[in-house]
Amino acid sequence: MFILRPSSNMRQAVAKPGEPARKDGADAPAAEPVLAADEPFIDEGLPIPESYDTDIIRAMIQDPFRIFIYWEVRPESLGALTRYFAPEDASEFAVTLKLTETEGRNEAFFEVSQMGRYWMMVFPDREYEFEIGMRSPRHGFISLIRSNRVRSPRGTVSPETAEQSEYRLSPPDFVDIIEASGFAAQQSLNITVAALPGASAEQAEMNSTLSRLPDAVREALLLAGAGHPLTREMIELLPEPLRSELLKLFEAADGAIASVGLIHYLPELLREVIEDDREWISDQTHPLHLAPRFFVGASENLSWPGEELRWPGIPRPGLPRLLSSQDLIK
Amino acid sequence: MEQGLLGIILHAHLPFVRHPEYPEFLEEEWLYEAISETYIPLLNMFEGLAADGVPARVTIGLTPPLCEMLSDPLLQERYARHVTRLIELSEKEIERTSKHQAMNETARMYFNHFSAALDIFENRYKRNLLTGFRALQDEGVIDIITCGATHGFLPLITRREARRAQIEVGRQNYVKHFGREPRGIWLPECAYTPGIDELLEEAGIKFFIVDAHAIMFGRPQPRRGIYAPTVTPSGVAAFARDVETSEQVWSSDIGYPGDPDYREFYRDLGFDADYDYIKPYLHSDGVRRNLGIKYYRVTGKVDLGLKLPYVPSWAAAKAASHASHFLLNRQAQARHLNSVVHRKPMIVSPYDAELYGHWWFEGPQFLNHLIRNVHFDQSEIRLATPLDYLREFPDNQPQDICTSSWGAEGYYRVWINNETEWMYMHQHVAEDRMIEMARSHPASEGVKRRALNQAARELLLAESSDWAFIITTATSVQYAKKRFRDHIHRFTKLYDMVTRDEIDEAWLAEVESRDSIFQEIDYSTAYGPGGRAS
Repeated sequence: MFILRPSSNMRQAVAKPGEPARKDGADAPAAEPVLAADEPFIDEGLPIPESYDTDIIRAMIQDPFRIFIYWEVRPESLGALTRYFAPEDASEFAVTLKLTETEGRNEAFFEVSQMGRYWMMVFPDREYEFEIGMRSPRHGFISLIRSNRVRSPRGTVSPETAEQSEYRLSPPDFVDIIEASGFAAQQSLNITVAALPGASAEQAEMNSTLSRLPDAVREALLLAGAGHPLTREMIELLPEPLRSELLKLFEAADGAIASVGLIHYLPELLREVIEDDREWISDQTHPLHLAPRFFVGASENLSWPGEELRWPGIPRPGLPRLLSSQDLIK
Repeated sequence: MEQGLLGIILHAHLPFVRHPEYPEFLEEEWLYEAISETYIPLLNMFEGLAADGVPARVTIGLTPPLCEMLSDPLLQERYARHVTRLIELSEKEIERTSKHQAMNETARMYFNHFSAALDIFENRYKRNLLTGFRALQDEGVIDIITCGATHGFLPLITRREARRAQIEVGRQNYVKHFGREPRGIWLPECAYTPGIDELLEEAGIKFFIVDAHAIMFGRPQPRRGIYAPTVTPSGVAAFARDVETSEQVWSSDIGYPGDPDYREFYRDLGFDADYDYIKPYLHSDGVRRNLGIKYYRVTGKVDLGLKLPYVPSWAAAKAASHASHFLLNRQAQARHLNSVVHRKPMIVSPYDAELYGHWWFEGPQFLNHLIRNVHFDQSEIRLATPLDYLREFPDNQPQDICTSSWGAEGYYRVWINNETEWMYMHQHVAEDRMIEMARSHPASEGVKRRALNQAARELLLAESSDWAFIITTATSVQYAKKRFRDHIHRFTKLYDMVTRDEIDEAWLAEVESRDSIFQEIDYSTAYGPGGRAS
């Protein structure tokens, strides 16, 4: 679904011989810069700070599978955290980003620098929170700043039916509603394909994109795209988080609705393939944009203290169980 | 027998572009083109419908930046100058094309079109088109809804106070221009995340518009799909866009605007004419640009150079035919839906208003035919606004609707991605600082108050979703970056001045004269802990 915005610049102005060419941007600069004779002026706006000398971390949802976070902490804030420790202890602390999936109480830790921005791969329909702090094997994680909480969208229909009888639907009735609303598998497939970059390209290109999906995903998509229900066995073969999300639908409703759910995830699945082709994951600004899921990027888990410290030193109850990255991957 | 309701919703929005520091400015022409091609044709259409006793019952979202520009004397003066030059050019075009019948007919069409636009602008509305929209609402012809103050993408504004400011300043601006409280809102980019509904309820809003998956993916499952609103936990109703009607108009493959007989948008006299001939109508930089005089039709999927001449009568006939086709499809759709949802379905068809007239030149004709056909030719479909629906069906299903937007892929990627991620720390720090200043200076007066109000304006302007949208879609990227950086720069300077209590009055006055949006703004009401005064 593409939105157009009126713009007189949809087509680049191509100057003919002897005519002036338009610079990208405003008609005229906001200030009079000193330019070399052959240097074109491009007005990129007034200067803005590179840093704000503040402690900040914020999280933003991009889609059901991606969260963007950025942070900046002052060196003095980090230094203040460890000054209560003996020098040999303080030297063991490293700046750490902590990710918490709040409802599952799952955590992951990443050694980071004092300012940065990451794209996180996440599960749909979960709430996440991020913290920047200092971490050491001996004293665990001491939090300095905490982000806003964000919830990733589910990305497909809910398995939950209404409590009130007048709004409750049986699975077949919900399939009728899905179809009437334009969300049936085939309709969603058409819309997705139409909206893909290069949608007008050769069918072979589309087939090539699909062929790079994992076998189990591709086979399930072909079935779902033809309007057939998924079986439990097929869903069990899918990688996470598809498996767990579609099992929820399968168990709450049936294979027909799980089939619809799979197609709803198609845009993100295909985009991941396309982005991989473009080597976006090697982009140095996104070192944690790693397939298949964010937990793979977590640093190793060490032995943890029984409780965490919460800056400025107020103890808070520890989590019931700290999972290892291997626990989380499965 | 009535089978269903059709809710046409037009979202009219342009970012606030006003550059008094230059005698002419390319991006200001977004507004001038939209006035001639969209806003005046829509006003003409609605007034014609009212005169003929046809109840339009169309909803129009007029965003605060657009309202501020339409009522701005400088931009009004510049529009009059702009259209006067086009009248002069089209008059020359009648002469130039005198030996080419098809083109000459089109040249005459433009002359009449621009001449009428100037006459209506000057004489009927005394340069302020808002008076026309307001009168139409007061007469019950249309419902006008509001929007975020500067079309800020609310879910990516992380502080509740800053989100509330977008809604509150938008509400106040609506009251200023339309003399009543808004009852509905077009959420900028239809972007929703839970919690926004609470802010809408606080502002007295009764309904908002979302994309289809907001309700389809909501919890619990929607009993009537997207054909009845659901009610958020705070009691505000959400109406979802209908997928089928969107496709029929928006789709580049099956959408009406791609018909071979309609006017081709991308082939413009500004690029076709001899340079010496067209130069007087270009800006002082002499660079070719679109002028709004276009002589060719879509023709088909061929190169621009192979397009065939536009024939206005063919296009007009096609607009009428497409309106009939659209209505026939809605009748069939409503009959089917009635059997599935067991209530008259509300088919919500929201569009960018500028699609009609600017991109799709014949769009206003299509709408005019459609509304008249609905009224005169059948009884299965009735036009209704969301408020009409809520009056008729006050009980609707409670639901937690889903995080969503109407951007590509349905979430936030258009606004937060590799190209735009750098913007958000600057925006968020400015939001934090504005909230901090409103708390620490709750009742400033004099020049400090002016500085705080201007800081609020600069922040709101930086938050406009248009800048990220333009960067992502790679249209006027440099301008969008410049605007964002300029507003962050000015905000930061104001913040430093306020916190140091050293305000440069001459600089402040200059900035006030440039970024003059929201003269009514009160920073403490917008960002202070008390929020809206009851």
